[in-house]
Parts: sequence; structure tokens; C-alpha cells
Amino acid sequence: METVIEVIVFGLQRGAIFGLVGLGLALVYKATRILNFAQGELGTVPAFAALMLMIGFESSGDKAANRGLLLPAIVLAVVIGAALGVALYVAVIRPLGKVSPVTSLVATAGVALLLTTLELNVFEARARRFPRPVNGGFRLIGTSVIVDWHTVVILAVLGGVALALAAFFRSAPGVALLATADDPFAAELQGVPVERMRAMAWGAAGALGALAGVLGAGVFESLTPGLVTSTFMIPAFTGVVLGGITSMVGAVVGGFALGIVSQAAIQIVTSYNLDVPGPPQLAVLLVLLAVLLVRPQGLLGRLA
Amino acid sequence: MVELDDLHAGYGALPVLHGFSIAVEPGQVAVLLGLNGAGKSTAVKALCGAVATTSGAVRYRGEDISGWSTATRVKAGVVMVPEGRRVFGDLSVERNLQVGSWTQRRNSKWVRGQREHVYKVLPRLDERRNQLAGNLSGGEQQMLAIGRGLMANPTVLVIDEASLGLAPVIVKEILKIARALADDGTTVLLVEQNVGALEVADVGFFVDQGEVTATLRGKQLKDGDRIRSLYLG
Repeated sequence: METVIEVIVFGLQRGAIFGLVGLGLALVYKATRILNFAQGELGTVPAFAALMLMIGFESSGDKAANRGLLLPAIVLAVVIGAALGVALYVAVIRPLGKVSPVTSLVATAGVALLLTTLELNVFEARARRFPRPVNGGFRLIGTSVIVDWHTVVILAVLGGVALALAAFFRSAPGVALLATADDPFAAELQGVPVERMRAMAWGAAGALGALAGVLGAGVFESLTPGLVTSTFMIPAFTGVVLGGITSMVGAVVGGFALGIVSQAAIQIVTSYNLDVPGPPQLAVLLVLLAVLLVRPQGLLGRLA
Repeated sequence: MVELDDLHAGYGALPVLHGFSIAVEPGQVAVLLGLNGAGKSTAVKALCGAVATTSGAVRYRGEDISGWSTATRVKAGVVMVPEGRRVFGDLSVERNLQVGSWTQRRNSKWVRGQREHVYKVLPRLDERRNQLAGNLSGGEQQMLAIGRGLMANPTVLVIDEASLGLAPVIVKEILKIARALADDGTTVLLVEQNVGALEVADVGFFVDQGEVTATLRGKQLKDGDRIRSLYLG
């Protein structure tokens, strides 16, 4: 029983990060029909910016991060994430014009590679300590399972983001964004600034990515180049596909499901002492395969 | 109110309008009539800024607006209901109207009032406020498209091919709505292949090969032989 609770608690922690990354993926896909493989780096780059602020912009030394600066650092990360998202749309996606989904996907993957390489050049291939907003944890009543306060923080942030998005999609700009996604020409005929709407969606996705980056680095209490892409991107993508690619609720539900699946995979492999390489990755890819075979439109999506 | 003066326009290297001129007075229903590919749609798209003009003037309230963006024109009151209705199928009727009011969104009191007005003018929408636009019938979608246009507070409302693919009784209803809008002071431009639209018109323009080849007013609008000969050449 305790093991099950533990799997769920850790699964929810990872799943919430998958959800944050997934929301960014789903938002961009909804607005511009593009699978943004740079979404992960829209998280790692701002996380590095936050770290730089906390260690006083010394990239070489191993100075301890000043936790007092964590809040302004997170704000900085979100701003940089949003700016990066907009820049990616304006400088890469829009100039491409109307191209096949594969072309734009490769372009965003190229951006992800470029950003990861930049991080490697500036910060070297090693882990740096990264603080959490709240340290420690608490014992779950009636069990011996310890829940990190950081898990609570991530869930609270995800909840706040979900509420903000729900409110946004009821506001005039949110509805205009949905209309733009549905029929850009018709939206333009009503005076909706279509290009600005799309840039806004990319900016919001960048901000979500930044939150995922900062909180995701907090999960490991360390930050390495390419972190969000290598650890959260594929499960988040799978979660989004599972949830139904344009569905915001689906992105979160799918994220949680994938979090629990990958934790369960680790648990099963270790308790039965199985000789399986990379259990969480394997489980995630199996889920992806199963969704594509059984229900390609996802749980909450519709066939395109 | 609206004047297209010696307009030349087209798509890339393909010219469509060759000196297209019309003038419409406030509160009139003007019908642009002609065969497929005659240039009617291109002319009204030029009026709304959806097609760039190469020469000539688009005048609105005496001002040349040919350099204005679509958004600026909508704000100023030139609004188009596109061919094929193009309602936002994934959004409810109410949300479609909300998108329509984009340029007026800062004036929420007006928007609320106008929405109720639209529901009164188009009662079929009232019953379906929370239905997805994609689930409406063709006629209802056309009415929603018109209602969405009305939410932008138009002085000039262009309706492109409203009667296409609709049952005759619905077409009649939509033409009646167009007439009523004009009687309320909105200038209405109807792009039509259906000669029945002339019944509600104050002025009819027959369009052929990118030009206006005949202008019909008063009794001429009911002169069946004349209209037939225009169509058949």
C-alpha cells in the first residue's frame, strides 16, 4: 500500500512538470498547428538565466545560489521564457510560412539543438546545484511516505496556471485566439490581429516552459544543459498525445498519467529485480505506441 | 458612403478587376450580381482590405482607405461576412458573437446590448446560444455569420454569397434581414449569383469580367428581360 502511495506521490510530482511542458506544447499546437520540439529548451534556457541571477552572473565558479533571489529569478525566467517563445515564432516559424508539419517540427528541433549547444558552450556539460522554493517535506498522515514541499509547490503552480488558462480562454483575447486557430481569415475579417494572437500563444508557451524549467530543475536540485528536453519533453509530448493534442485539460491529465506510469515502471522493475534498461523511458514510449495504435485522437481530442 | 473608383486588383500576376467602379449611398441595399469568376468577390474583398489593389481608390465617407489594414477598416465600420459563412465551428454561438465584437470589446455595455439586439433580429440564434456553431444548419450558420458581422458595429456590411447552398425559404429570410438592416441605417452590399436578391435592392450592379457592365435602379430592378439578357449576354 505504502509503495502505491509513494508511486502516486512521485508520479504526481513528475506528472505536474510534464503537465506544464505539455500545456505549452498543446497551446502552441492549438494556435499554430506546430509541434514545438524546442518547448523543453524554452524551459532550460530561462532556468539557466534564473541560476545566473542567483549566483551573480559568474558562469565559471561553483558559487552557491543565493536563495533569497529565487523569487526575482523565477520572475526573470518567466519573462525570458515568454520573450524566447515570441522570438522563436517571429524569427523562425513565421518566416517559414506555410510548410509541412514535418518541416516546422524539424525547424523547432533545430532550435532545441542550437539552444542546448549554446548552454553546453557557456555552462559546460556538468550539473549545477539549483535551489527549490521550499525545502524539506512532510509525512503523509497515517503512512511513512514523505512528501516534498516542492511537490506541493509544483502542484500549486500547475493549479494556478490551469485556472489562469481557463480564465484566459473565456476572455476576449482568449476567445479570439481560439477563433484564430479555427479560421484565421474569418478572425481577421472581424479585426482580430491574427499574427499578434499567434505570437502571444508562443509567448505564453514560453512562460509555461520557464516555470517547468525552474521547478523541474528544483525536482533534481540540479541543472544541466538540455535538462528539460532530455527528462521531461518526451513524456510531456506523450501525455499531450494521450490527452488529445489540442486539449488543455488533456495535456494535464495526460501529464499526470505519464508521471504515474513512469514511476510505476521504476517501482516494478526495482521490486521484481528485472533486467530492463531505462524503465520509465520504455514505459513512456510503450504508452505513446499504444495511444497511437488504439486511440490516435487521444482521450479528450477529436480526429483532425 | 462607399465608392470603388476605377479599381484594379488581382491575385499575384492574375488581374481580376479592370477599372471596377461602383457607388453606394447610406442605408441602401446594393447587390453585386454576376457569374462565377466575374470579380464580385474580389471587389468586395478589396473594399475590406482582404485583397490588395494595384490602382484606383476605395473611398469610405469620402476618404481613400485603400492603404488601411482590414482591422482598421473594421474599426471604422466596414465589415465583411465571408463567402461560405466560415463560422468558428469549435466555438458556441455566443463565443462566435464575442469574436465578432473584438474591435468593440472595450465597450462591454454596448457589446451586451448589441448581442441582445442581434438575438432579437436573428431569433434562430437566440435558441442556440450555447450550441457549437459547427452543429448548426447551413441557414443558421449564415445567420450567425451575419450576426457576428453585426457585433463589429458596421456602418457598411458586406455579405458575400449569402444564399449559396441554402433552401429558397431561408434565402428569402436572409434577404429580408438584409433589407431590415438597411432600413435601420446600415449600408448593405450583397454579392449574389441569385437574381432574387434584386427584390430587396435599391441598386444592382451587374459585374462581368472585372467590370461593372450595367447599373440597375428603380423599375429596372424588376425588368426580368433586361436581367436575363445581361446574364446570357
